[in-house]
Amino acid sequence: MDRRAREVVYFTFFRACALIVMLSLVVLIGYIATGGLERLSLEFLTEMPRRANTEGGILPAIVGTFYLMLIVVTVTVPIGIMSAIYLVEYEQSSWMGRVFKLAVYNLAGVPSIVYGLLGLGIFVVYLGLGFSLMSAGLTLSIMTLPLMISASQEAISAVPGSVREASMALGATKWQTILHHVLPYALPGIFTGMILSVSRAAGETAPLMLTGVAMSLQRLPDGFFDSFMALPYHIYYMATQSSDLIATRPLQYAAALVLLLLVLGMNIIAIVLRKRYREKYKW
Amino acid sequence: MALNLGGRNGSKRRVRRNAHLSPRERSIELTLTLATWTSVLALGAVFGELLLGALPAFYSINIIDFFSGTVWNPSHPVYPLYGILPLLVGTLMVSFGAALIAIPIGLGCTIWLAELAHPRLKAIFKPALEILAGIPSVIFGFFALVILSEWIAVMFDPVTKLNALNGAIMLAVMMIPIMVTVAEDAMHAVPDSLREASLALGATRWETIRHVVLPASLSGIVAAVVLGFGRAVGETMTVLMATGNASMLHFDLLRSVQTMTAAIAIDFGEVEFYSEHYHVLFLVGLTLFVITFIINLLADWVTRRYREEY
Amino acid sequence: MKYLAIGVAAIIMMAAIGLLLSQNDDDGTESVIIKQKGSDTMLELCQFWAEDFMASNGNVQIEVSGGGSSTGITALINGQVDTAQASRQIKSTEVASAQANGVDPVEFRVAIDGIAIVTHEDNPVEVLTVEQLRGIYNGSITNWNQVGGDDRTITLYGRQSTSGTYEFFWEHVLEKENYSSSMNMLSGNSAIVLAVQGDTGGVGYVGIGYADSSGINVLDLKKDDDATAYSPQDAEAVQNGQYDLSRYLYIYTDGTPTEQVNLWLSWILDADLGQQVASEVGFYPLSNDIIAEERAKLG
Repeated sequence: MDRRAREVVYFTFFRACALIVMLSLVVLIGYIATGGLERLSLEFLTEMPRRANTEGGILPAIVGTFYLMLIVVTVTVPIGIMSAIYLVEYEQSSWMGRVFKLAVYNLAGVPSIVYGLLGLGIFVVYLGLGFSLMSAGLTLSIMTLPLMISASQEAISAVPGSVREASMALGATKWQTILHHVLPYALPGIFTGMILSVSRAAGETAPLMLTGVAMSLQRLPDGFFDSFMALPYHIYYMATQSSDLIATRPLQYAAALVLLLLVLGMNIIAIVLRKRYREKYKW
Repeated sequence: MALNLGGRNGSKRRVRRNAHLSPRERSIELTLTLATWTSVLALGAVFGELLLGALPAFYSINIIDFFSGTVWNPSHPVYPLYGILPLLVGTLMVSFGAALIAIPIGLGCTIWLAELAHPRLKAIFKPALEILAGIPSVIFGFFALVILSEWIAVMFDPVTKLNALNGAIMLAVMMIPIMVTVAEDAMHAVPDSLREASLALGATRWETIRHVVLPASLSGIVAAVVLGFGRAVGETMTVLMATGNASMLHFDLLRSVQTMTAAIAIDFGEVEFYSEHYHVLFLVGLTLFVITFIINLLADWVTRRYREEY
Repeated sequence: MKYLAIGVAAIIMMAAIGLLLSQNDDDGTESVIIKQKGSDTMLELCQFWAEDFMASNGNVQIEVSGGGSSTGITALINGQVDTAQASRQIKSTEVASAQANGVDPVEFRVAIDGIAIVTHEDNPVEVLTVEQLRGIYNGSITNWNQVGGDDRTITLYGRQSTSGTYEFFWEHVLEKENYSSSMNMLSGNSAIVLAVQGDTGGVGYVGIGYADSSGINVLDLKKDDDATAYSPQDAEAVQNGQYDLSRYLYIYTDGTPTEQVNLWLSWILDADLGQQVASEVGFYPLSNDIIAEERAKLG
């Protein structure tokens, strides 16, 4: 075959691949949206489930997911930022630095169900937190820690050395430099990382399954040590084990749509923020 | 951390690295160190927890039988059987199946993105890829359960529509964003001077890509594939909902399988705490952890060993 | 700094909304929570019971979850739940475990179930003997034409092994022989219904409350070739035990029921309340004699 013709064939294939990937995203969102729209209503979002999850709304699931996100933000963000600061600013190339980096890297690759086992063993049983929001929330926090650390690391190391050097040259201490000169510039990137971590935590199911998520409650959690429902698990449960799978299909779609909108919304905000921040700080 | 400084009279004096800093600075550094230790602690805790939970299993069942057993039926009322092979084969079938689909499409996508795409298309595509990567796995699982399985039923007319192929296709869709992101970074890092040199010598764009860019970014591409594969192996919800969960040993893509991750997730809702079954599930988790750990190390090693420095 | 402010504001807002939402039953009365776990077959039934019970007893909250009869009984033995629902009777080994743990299981019959054998709606087979059913499920009969149907391979669907239904079937149909190794073990009654709806050669067993679905047939059973065939949809046949797979559904408590559990159980054991709901859900109510017997145990 002619060299140029060969090129056309290959390039068409590559373009087709990209098209396939885009198409799968559109198809996925499309089906969930069209399937879920009919049942999505204010009642659905604000009522308790009734008649064994076949009627009513999913308020406890939404609130549960909400509380979980709250726990994740409270725990992961501070620890993540502090770890990132340490990894970038302090421990650079010694063996300890390498150990830390290796630990973070490997934590990121651990399957979510293994985190579930961790949460079960440590939070539910050993620390005696039982099957509660706290156990699940802490498990999710550890799970999203690597993500938060990497995003923060990237943001902090993107700040040019000249800023640090200038600050130190003017007599600031290391911590003053970090707090007043490095962090402010890194904050948008860190914020993006936070949104992505929380969004990831909101969508996880497996760790919840092992730390005690309930499938049907008619009340909201009474504090952080109480039983809870959560959106992702609700979708799973309804789609595989509800009492009448055909009749509740619209409800399953609607719940999936709610989760999708939540996660998509957060992701889009993060992407937009990151774009604006990149344009603002072209070093 | 100590430094050797010259002391008075020429003697060596050991001093802490941060001794010159004020106490406030030192305590801040300490706090940050402690925060960072959480990660190491967490990793250790994961491994330790799995080991602790799995240890009793080492005593109560025959480990050789566990790793070579072909039947997984742990809660049979009288004769529980704990062979991990059906689960292992199930995991490998969906993961390799997914890789088979994801590698060509992912690579094609990467090349398009790095070499062929118009910048404005790129600006739409990259965020779209991120969005795809951020979709929760339970939604992929739901889609596979309700819609993809129907398409497979129509196309292949299998005995059961919740089968390994269903899981493999959905996993491929999930793998591609990660693969493309990492691989595209690698291809992007190849300097333009190489491309220009090749074109100047008369090569077509495709020949340039094939003989210059791809070999140069090979380590990154391989790392991308390995990382994606690792993600597929560790995936739980998608396969749980898509593959039918029949824990029988076979190699037929059109029949139900159960992966290691799904077995842990499902059985845990029903297991009696601290029973033999409970500990064996931890053993499965330990096996899974070791496998993904090795895959991650492999990806890291490939990146570092074969990276071309420009 | 703008981002920091936004971030902190968002967190505070979330926390505030969260706290607001949880102020829902601050009327001074203490809510008692009864935790119940166990049979998936009874799950929908118990959830309906819980919902209707809580509608008239606001200060008692009932939390029901599934996992299979074995899981529920284990949870009761370990003191993790107050009551357990089970679609099979407690085993003597479990009773021994319980007593070793200081738990005294008390059995209450709460409803009647007839396990329905379901097939795809296009499957012409309408009746099976218990013998044939055993052959199908232990793998010795593999094609529908061996039991009077078309030439089609039989696909087996059954429950996971913590299920009381799985065990009941194992004891009464398979007579404690092994299930065929090719049986698909699904984790719920509705999953079995869904599977059989989509598979022309499929067969499954579900609680009668789940058999009322389109796309499937419910088979009649007879003891042997010469006996009368009964359908699980025939209330009398099931309540009299003439249908071969009739069984009681149970709730177990730890010792004599406490005040709240007593309220819960006596609501269930009321012909106009719990038993009525049982019929609506598709199961069968207990006869008045049995209700009286069970109520006597409430103490």
